[in-house]
Amino acid sequence: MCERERPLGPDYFPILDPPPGGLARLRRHLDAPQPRGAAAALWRRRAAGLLACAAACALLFAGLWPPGRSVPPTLIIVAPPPAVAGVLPGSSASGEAGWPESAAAAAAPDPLTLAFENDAVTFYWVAPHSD
Amino acid sequence: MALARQEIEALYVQWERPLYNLVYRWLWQRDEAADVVQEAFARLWQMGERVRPESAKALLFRIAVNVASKRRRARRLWGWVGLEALGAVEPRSFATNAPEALLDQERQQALMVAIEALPEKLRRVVLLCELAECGYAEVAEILAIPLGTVASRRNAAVKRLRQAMAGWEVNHV
Repeated sequence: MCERERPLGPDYFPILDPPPGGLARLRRHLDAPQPRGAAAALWRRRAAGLLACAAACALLFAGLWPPGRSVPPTLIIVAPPPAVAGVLPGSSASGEAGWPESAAAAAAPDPLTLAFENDAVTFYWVAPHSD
Repeated sequence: MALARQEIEALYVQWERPLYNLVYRWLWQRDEAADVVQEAFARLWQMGERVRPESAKALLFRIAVNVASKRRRARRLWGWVGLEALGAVEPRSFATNAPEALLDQERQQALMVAIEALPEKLRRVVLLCELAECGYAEVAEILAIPLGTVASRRNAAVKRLRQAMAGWEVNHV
């Protein structure tokens, strides 16, 4: 019991009897052979999950860029944040140099806008202005 | 040195009831509380060499609290638990005649709501202090928090419970 204050006791926490047969149940569990290869099964499940994820990504990509289409899906960052602006060639905070005019001319869309133009998929990512 | 099977069984005989009562106040379902107790001992057994006999009790209670907490979160996720669902749980009555039983059941219901209203960190401490036969030092070890934090959280929880139950005559049982 806690030392510094009188416990609330059974008025607040009446003691309940656990259901009978608990020890016998535990003994049966301890007697049962432990499943072998449980860790391996876990890794198999993880690998299957990864495989399913990769397949879903491949299907998505195939849908976005079907055979015979010359224009790949385009990712256009209209106003990249400073960290990205320094990395991407031709990019700038205003989104002028190096980017298609259609993107620059587009009225500032909502962040993460998905648009379909000329049978290509364009993602517009408008970061918060950082002036 | 790992726990022997006899030691596990001795631990079960010693701590089944406190563990069951602790977990019951977490889940409010008897069958599930019994399942969690079994799972805690099974996990302790599976930990094998990593368990030192002197720390087995703290480890056992930590496992039980974590398993119960995880199940509770999972239930909340599915919308099975919450104050609105507590009416489905039958609080135990200890009274012998009918009017007293009814009053006692209502009081148990109010107590359940009061315990449920405690933030989890307070609930963990007060339930361990009251039901696990632990001193502050043991609770601090089980929950891996400082001793002073145990004392302050326990006092805060007791204060809230007493306030919540102020309208009930708690000594009539």
